[in-house]
Amino acid sequence: MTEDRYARHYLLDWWDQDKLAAASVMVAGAGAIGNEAIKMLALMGIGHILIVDFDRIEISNLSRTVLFRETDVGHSKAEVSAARAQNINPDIEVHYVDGDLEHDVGLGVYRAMDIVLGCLDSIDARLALNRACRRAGVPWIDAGIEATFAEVSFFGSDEGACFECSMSSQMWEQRNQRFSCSGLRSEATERKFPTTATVASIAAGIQVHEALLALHTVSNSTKPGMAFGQKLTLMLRPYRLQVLDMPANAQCLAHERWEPIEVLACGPRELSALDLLERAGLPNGAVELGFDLLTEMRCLQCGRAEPVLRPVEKCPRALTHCPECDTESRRPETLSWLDAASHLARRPLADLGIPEYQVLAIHDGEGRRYFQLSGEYIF
Amino acid sequence: MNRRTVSIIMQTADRTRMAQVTVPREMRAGDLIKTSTRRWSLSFGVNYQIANISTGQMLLPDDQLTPEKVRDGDTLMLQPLATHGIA
Repeated sequence: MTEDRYARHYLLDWWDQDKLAAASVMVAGAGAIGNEAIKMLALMGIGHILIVDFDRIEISNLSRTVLFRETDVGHSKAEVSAARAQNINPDIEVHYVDGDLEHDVGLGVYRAMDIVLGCLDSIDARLALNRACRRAGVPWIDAGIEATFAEVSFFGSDEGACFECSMSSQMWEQRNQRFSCSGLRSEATERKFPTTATVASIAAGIQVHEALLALHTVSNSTKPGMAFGQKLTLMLRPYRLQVLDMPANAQCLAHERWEPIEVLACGPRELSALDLLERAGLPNGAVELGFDLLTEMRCLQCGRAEPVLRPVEKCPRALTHCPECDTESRRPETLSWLDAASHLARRPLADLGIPEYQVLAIHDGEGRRYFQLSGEYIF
Repeated sequence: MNRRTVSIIMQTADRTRMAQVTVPREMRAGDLIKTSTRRWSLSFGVNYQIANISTGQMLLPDDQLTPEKVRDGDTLMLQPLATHGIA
């Protein structure tokens, strides 16, 4: 038998390198945990890796991020980590999105994944990832760390507990503190948390191991390791490891699978909401954007309005300042759906912040239908 | 035995704090988290969750301490909810 880079893998009787070469795995977040996860996925020959992160590399990241160098400071985490992963293993395909997982990655991209790894740093991002995976019907594995504590949770595509099931009122409050009453993002100072490369590496190791087991398994019931809806917690001081069952919350709003989905040959640059309604044969329907779109900031004092087309939660609270009156008197005008009569109905969907491969819901009073847009970038 | 209360052992994941307490069955896990973090002066800004390590079940914040979820003598562990992937 000839030796190749995976020769030691072949000695494992359950290992299927071809299966891994055909697999698509998204890594959401290229921070401390994400760096470790990406490194391991590349080493093991996962054929298609997609890295999503909107952040830039800072000098203080370098104590915990194996893929970054001092010369990378200021550059995109997603881009640099993708280049380094490709360098680790030229046999695989590594793509990246230098953007936000909620607003810049269409649901169609999630649907193309076999599994998603959440390597995130906030409740907000986890909520968004959880909803996307649940809608797309893709399992995801969350990893999180504290100074001497790590946890890895396995969430199924459409069964068992999801991340949102266990959200406490305190966590919702904490999440909502990031937004003002108008929905604009508050400029809160980011808290810094203590951590080291060791705990990030351990969390990512367990997370990737679980992904490997899942990629090798046909169904959740026969998968070794963690089952859907289970959480592994690891305390390092003193050592304690346990696997716990997370109960599903029957009232959870995130338990929503979007299907069936009709795939269109046009992308958000070519299609407007009006075009979409026509193609769907639902001229009286309404296209749901999936977020609140800020259309303008209007001053209550002087009446002056400034057009803005951005998701409201991406807009800073500073937009309430009116340069004309020099007061904080501007209020946002928003919309979350478009019908044929909407003044933005003829604008390309891309202008409204709809990403490529997004799945849009159209409701017409009787029910909802789902349409996936096409795209140009390769993932 | 009072059926309206349950005696449990509460402890933090790092085992620096531990107490045997008797609490009403109608108490919710979320209230237990709030009370414990306040009395034990645990880190502000950290979210906590409760696991019944005697049964291997997590408790949802709205879960009451019913006999199906918590038995007399069970150990409930208060552990941080790790939501950082810090870089």
